Amino acid sequence: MRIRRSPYEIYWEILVFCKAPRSFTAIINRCDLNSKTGQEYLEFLVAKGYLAAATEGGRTLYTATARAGEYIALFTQMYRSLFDTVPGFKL
Amino acid sequence: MTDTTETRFRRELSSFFAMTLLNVVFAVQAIGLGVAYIVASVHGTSELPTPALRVLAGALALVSLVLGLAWMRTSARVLRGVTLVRRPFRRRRGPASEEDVTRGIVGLVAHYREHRRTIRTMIIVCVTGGLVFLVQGVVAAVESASVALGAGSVTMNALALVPAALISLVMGLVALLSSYYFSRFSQAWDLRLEETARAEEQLKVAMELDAE
Repeated sequence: MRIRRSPYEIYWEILVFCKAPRSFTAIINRCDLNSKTGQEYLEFLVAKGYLAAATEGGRTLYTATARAGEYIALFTQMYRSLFDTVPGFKL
Repeated sequence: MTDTTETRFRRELSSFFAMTLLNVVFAVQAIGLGVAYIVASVHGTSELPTPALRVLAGALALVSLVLGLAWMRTSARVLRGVTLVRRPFRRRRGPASEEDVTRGIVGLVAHYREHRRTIRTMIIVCVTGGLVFLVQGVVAAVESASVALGAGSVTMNALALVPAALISLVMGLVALLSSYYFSRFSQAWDLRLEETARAEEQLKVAMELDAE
């Protein structure tokens, strides 16, 4: 089942997964993306300087940069705060 | 145990899961009850005193069957998503990593965003279903009372109708309770969705500033 995530949530998933060098196929499989949208997201993140692409043994590997660390930290803080600021639901 | 983001998230996830599972279970019972009432109406085994009441019981049975099916379909769809989000946390004993908790939060946010309308429909279905079951329970109670009064004493036939009336009344109350809890859940999550929209604006700004 594919859950509808926002682009920012997908960026976060990709960047967290790419803390270690990852191939395109591994990224789209892990982040549940099709190859077309996966390519678009990766191109965007590389252009923004959040991902570094390096070719190794004929294949491109993507790694999150230090700038990505700032995005991950900001995103994590904002999403975790959803459970701190909004009154929770309990049975 | 300290009340951390993780414990709050896990508690909420478990509550949502339990509530949705309970809904599926009661939806199945609602379908069963609807079928049973329809069969009773078709076979004419209903002991209602007037044809009008018999028609009303038959119509209510049909409505409860349709509502039961709608109720189960929507609950099962929501349950599937919650199960997926819950899976990584289900058997974990120790605390999860910050990344795993955030992933779970993202999953639940995305799930609610996708099923927001379904959950709203579920609230309406639960209220309608609850009222139908309550009326059905009252009709069954009247049926049992009229059989008992008609016979001048409490007969076995009248006693046999008591469980049916009780089941309908309990189902009605559970459905109304479900709608109440879903409303509360929906209120909390609508606020969270507003917060995520604000967070995304901030992330967008941060990304644009980063590009400069």
